[in-house]
Amino acid sequence: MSYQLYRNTTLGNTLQESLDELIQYGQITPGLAFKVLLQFDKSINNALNQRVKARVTFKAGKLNTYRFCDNVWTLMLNDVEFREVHEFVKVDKVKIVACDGKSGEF
Amino acid sequence: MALCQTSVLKVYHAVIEDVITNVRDAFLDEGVDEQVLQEMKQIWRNKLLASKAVELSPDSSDGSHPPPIVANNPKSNKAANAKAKKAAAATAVTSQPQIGGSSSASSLVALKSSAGMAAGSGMKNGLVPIKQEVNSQNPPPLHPTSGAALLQKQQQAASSGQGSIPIVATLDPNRIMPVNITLPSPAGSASSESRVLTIQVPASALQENQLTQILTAHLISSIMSLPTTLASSVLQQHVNAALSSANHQKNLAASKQLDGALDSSDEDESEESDDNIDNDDDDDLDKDDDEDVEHEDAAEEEPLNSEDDVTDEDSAEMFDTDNVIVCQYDKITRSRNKWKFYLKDGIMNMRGKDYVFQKSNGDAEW
Repeated sequence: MSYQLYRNTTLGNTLQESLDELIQYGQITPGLAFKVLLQFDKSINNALNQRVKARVTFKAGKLNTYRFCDNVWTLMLNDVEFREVHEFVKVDKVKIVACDGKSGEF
Repeated sequence: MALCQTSVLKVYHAVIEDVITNVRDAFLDEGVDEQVLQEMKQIWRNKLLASKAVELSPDSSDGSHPPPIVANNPKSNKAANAKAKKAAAATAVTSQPQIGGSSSASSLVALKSSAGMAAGSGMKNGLVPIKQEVNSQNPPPLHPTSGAALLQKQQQAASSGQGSIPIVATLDPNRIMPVNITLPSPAGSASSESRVLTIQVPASALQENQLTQILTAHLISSIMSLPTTLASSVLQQHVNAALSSANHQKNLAASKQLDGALDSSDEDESEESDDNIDNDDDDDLDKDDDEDVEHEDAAEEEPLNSEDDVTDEDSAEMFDTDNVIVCQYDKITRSRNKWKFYLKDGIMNMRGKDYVFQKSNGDAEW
């Protein structure tokens, strides 16, 4: 099973915009675009699972809001510091949308 | 954050290649040219690079893909054009139902609404006193009871009113104006002379175009057979009653409609027409009045609507941020107010830059 939530990322959004353009020019059908998106779901789930090795830790000043619905967590964190070895990025607000990693395995 | 950022482009390109490779068969099945597939890849890459979310690593800036902005501009212009066209089409579509609506209705009703509007414009142009005359070229209809008789009169009233000076609009709404109404000769009568009735109405009724709604075909036909003086007084009474009931109805409707300015429920229309008139052909004529009522409602009910919006905005705002992580969770635990997060396979977008991680653990207090 491949999650569709990665469609809502830079890579997924740019793909959807590209498909929209091609549909508007009449070069592909919406049905074909749908197939491309399904393939994207597979590819991105696969790539994250296989190709990414980076590990990040983070510490949040505050968990502002949390929501658990249909096995999806939505978290709003304030004052979050992400750290990878010696480098870090600090943001005052971040939203995390997380699907269940166990049922997502394939 | 070096590793999780530099690996982004590699991962993304791997995904793009993987997608392209795996949808090739689907493209062939649909008979779509390979060139389109390549174009899709190029557009996607250009958009990705133009998003600035991906750090350009040295090896990716070779000549194989053109500078994103140059390559992207014609496309985005095209896209913008397409969007504009789409929007135009959408507007066309939204305006169509009105046309289609009236034309799909029975021809009588359609005619009537256009006549009503025409008459309205005539009145707004200031036809005082209003003279509804039967054109001599249009002989009195065989069946004066039909709505068409009134229609013709209204249309003629409108056309004759086009050139006049706007007087009504500047009048004191409470001033009583004489209105002449010319009736075609009664059906059974031997004389072909038309008769003129005069009624007194407040100028506000003329301004708000209420008269066209009150003077229905049904009403006119019912007084048609009466002697002129009696017809005048019946008409006057009816107009007075209808005007006061319309005002009452208006106030009632203004306080009644709580569901927003844009909602035009059938209830309102039917109630209005029931109350004003006993002719069921008048829905279209009523529309003008309904719109007025709704505009008033929009002003009066605004607090309620805007309050509703605020609650929506609140929850939207709460989950609205530019920094987003999309990922999967292995485990999320809580002990008292201390939370621990065990995340994996994540794509982060922070401050406009993308990062990916295989694992990410973190904690927070609630």
